[in-house]
Amino acid sequence: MYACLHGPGNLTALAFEFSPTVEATAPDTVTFDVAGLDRLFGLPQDVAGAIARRARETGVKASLALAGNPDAAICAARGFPGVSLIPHGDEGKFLATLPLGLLSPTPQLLETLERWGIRRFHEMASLPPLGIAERLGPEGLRLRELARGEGDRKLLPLVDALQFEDEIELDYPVELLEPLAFLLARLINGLATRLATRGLATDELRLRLKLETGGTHERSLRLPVPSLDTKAFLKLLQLDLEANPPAAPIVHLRMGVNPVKPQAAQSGLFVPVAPEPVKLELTLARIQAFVGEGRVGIPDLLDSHRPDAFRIQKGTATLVKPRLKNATVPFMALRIFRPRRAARVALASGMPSFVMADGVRGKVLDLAGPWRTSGDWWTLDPWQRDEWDIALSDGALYRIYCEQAGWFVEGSYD
Amino acid sequence: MTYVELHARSAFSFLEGSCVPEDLAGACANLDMPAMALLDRNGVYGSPRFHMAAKKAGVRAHIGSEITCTNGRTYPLLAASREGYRNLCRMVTRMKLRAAKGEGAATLEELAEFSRGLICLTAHPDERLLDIFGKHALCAELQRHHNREEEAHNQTVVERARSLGIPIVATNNPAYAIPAQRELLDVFTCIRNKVTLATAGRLLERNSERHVKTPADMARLFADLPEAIANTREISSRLDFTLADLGYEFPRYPVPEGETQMSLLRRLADEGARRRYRPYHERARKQIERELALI
Repeated sequence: MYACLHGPGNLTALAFEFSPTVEATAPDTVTFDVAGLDRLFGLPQDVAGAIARRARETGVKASLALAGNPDAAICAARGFPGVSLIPHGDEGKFLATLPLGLLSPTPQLLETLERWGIRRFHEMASLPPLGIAERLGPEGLRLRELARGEGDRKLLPLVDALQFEDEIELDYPVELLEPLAFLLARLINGLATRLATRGLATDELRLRLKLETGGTHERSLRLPVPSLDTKAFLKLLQLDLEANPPAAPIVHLRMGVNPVKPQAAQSGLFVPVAPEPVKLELTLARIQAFVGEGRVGIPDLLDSHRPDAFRIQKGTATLVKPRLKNATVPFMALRIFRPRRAARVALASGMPSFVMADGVRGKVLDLAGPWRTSGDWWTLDPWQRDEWDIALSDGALYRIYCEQAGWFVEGSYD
Repeated sequence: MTYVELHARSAFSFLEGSCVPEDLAGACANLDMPAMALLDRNGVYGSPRFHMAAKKAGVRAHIGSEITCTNGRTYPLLAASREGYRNLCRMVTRMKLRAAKGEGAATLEELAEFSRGLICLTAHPDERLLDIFGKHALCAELQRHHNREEEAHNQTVVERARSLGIPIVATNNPAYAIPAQRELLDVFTCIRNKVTLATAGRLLERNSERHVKTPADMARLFADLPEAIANTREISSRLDFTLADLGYEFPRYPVPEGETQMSLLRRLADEGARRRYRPYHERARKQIERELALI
């Protein structure tokens, strides 16, 4: 049994309320499979009644037809106003009086039929198939079949784009993060339940907060792996909102998640156990709350002559050892001071002769250098640096360097 | 102290040098350097211009080439005599004839075959090269561009040179005349590697030290190895050949008795023109006469 809705309004949403198999036949027509609804509503007229009632409730003013095949339902919905219920086997009789124009034949075919005096479904239906095949070809035969209500095709179902979003309108503005956490928990739990019923997880949470002042505050959290850990989600959101609090009290919350398939991976027998990705993300978020945004991640060495050039990459999914092609292997270990130590350096004939910095002080006994590098001359931030390896009178070996900002001790050699 | 740059490179080393030979000759004259050797990659394309510019600037122009070898190394070769220049050109011709444009490399056997009259500077001295060139024509090359790794390599080269009993020689291997031309070389490097400046990374120059340096600067850089500087002067004095001594002679074409090469050419051109132009009009006659007069 198939139903067809024809008219203005959001027909697709209405159809999806009754069936998962919905075809968007035309912009003003949807057809859907209602087989099995009899067990829910009873007789076909009860099914039709339920659909019509829901259409009224949602403000959809469309004609409805139920028939044994989709094409008959479509013709009836387009041809008759209100609700039409076509008994099985009586499709031809029911549709007999409808004009042939409803079947959307080609203009040439319609003109030919017009000249023959064939204008209604029953006139087309009574024509001999052999004669039609000879004179009008396959298109004529298709028209005859539809006119007899004998169309038999499968629906081309719409794939319902799954949207996982939820919102809460607040009666009064929320100022503190603690009451907000309860609301967030509600949204997260609801969305997680919806995801779980479809066997899905999420790798992204989007939060949009409407503020009392009229502005919005948007946050987006990406997870390293798909998960449904609602406690972790809530904690991550809380940490994120603590680090980036909204500018005004909140009057409306809207949360969306990105539905993805959950990741199932079996860990290797000999692979060391790694922390659970979501928990690791949570730990990193906590660390980030202390050290600041953009300061937690995986250091990624840059392919540059600039000493110590690296960037912080966000994410924990692939903790791999960074490697650079043609990287030189140092002969001695250098303990780099972080942060670098500003130094005062006395020069003699252009060479360092005395160095003074925090915890470093002495006369230069021996030195090698300058080791010179420069680059990024095409940018607004060109750099140049001269390095020296020095043996100080305090008995230690240091690396010092001079750049535009002055002299610095970079580290000490072991 | 006199220093002679024996390993300069011009833009005739395609996308590996960023100044024209005239810039090098000019820099040489400005810095009171008595001579300079232009060693472009796998060819002597820049030599005529370098020779002319150096002559004008009152600088002696040594000729040579950096030859790519099948073992992945390049060997800077200096033409010490006319025979050396001839051998160098023959080696380049042979390696270019058997490879696609821009490729081609000489084998160590070819280096041995064409080694007479050439002086080899190398950063990788070994017994094989010593066999090929002998102690009198093989030098260990040292370069100092304020690079820590390079200095570590230099120490190895000095030890190796001493064990082989060959002299060490300092060069700066300039790829541009003045430091500002480093930027152009970086751009050339990007073009050669089909990358952008932002993504080229360590393909680019580490610093701007590969320019023509004054003898005083070079002496300061090699203060601990003064013989490396002194040897540049000594090698330069051994490089007798310049393009002025080319002594080029066109091959003689065999002509019938009673004819000269020019009279035979004139006769053949006349016969060909009469076949080609029917009628043999005045304009064609004048054009041919002009071409023959030019020859």
